[in-house]
Amino acid sequence: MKDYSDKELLEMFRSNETRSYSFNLIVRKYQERLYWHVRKIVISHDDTDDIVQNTFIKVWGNLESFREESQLFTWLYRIATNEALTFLKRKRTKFLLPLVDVEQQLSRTLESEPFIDGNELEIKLQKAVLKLPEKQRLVFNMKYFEELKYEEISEILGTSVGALKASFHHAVKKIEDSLEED
Amino acid sequence: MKNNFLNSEDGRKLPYTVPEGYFDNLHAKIQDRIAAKDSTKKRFIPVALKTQLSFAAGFAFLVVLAYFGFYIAKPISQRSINQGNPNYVEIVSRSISQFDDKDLYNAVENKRKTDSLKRVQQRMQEFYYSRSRNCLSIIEEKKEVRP
Repeated sequence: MKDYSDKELLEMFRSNETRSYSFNLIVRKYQERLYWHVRKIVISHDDTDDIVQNTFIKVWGNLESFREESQLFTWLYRIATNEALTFLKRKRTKFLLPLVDVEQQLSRTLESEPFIDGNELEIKLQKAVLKLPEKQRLVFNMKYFEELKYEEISEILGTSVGALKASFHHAVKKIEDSLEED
Repeated sequence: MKNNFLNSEDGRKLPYTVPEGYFDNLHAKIQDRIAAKDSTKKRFIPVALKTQLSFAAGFAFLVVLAYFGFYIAKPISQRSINQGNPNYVEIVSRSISQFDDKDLYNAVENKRKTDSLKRVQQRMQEFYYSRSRNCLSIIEEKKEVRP
C-alpha cells in the first residue's frame, strides 16, 4: 500500500470517487496513534474503542470543512482529546462524582482492566500520572510518551508554548515526588 | 532509582495491551458505523416527510368533518338561504317554452269556468238557505195561530 502524504489524502477526500478510499487510508494511518493517546486518558480499552470510533465518525462528518490551517494529525488529536475529556466529564456528571473520585476510579481500572500487561514500575508511573490535574496530565502524556513538539501540543490544546513548558515541568516534578513517596 | 526510571527508555513503555487483531479490524468497524449512520440519515427524510403528510391529512380530515358537522347541524331554512341567489330569469325562460298562448287561453277559460261554477254554487246555497228560513218562519206562525 502506497504511503500518501496528508495533503494527497485530503485532495483525494475532496473528490467524490476517492472519498471513501482516502478516508479509509486516513483511519489506517492514524488509528493507532489516536488509540494510544485516548487510552492514556481513559485507561479502559472498551471506552477507548468507543471514543476512537466516535472520533473518526466526527472526522468523516467534518473533514470537508478542514481548512488545512493546522496539520491533519494535530486536528485529529484535538477531536480525540475533546471526545475523551467529554467522556470523563459525562462520567463525572452521570455518577455525580467529584474530580478526585474519577481519577481514583481510573486508577482502580488500571488494576482490574483485562488488557493491562506491565511491570510494577510502569503501573506506578501511570498511577502517578493519574494524580495530575487534567491539563498537566495531557501535556505530560503528549510530551513524555508521544514525544510531540511543544508547538504541536500548542496546536492541539490551544495553549501557549511557554505555559506548556511550565505545565510539563510541574508535572515531572509531581511525578518524581510521587514515585519517591512510594 | 525510581527517578532514573523516568529518564530511562523503559519509563516510556505503556502497560496497556489490545485484543489480538484489534487494529486490523478497527477501520472496518468505523466504516460500518459510518455506513449505518449515512443510511439512517437518508431514511430520516422520507420518514419526516411521511409524518408531516400524515399530520396534514389528519388536519384536512378534521376540517372536512367540522364543515359537514356544522352544515348538518344548521336548520334547513338557513341552509336554503345560504345556497346563493338563484337566477329566476333563467328558470322562467327555461320553463316559458313549455307554455304558449293557447295554454294561456285555456288556463284563463278554465279559471272563468271554475269561477262561474263557484258563483252558481254560492247562489244556490244562498237561495236554499233563505227558503229554509222562510219555511221555518211559516211553521212558527202557524203554531202561534193554533190555540
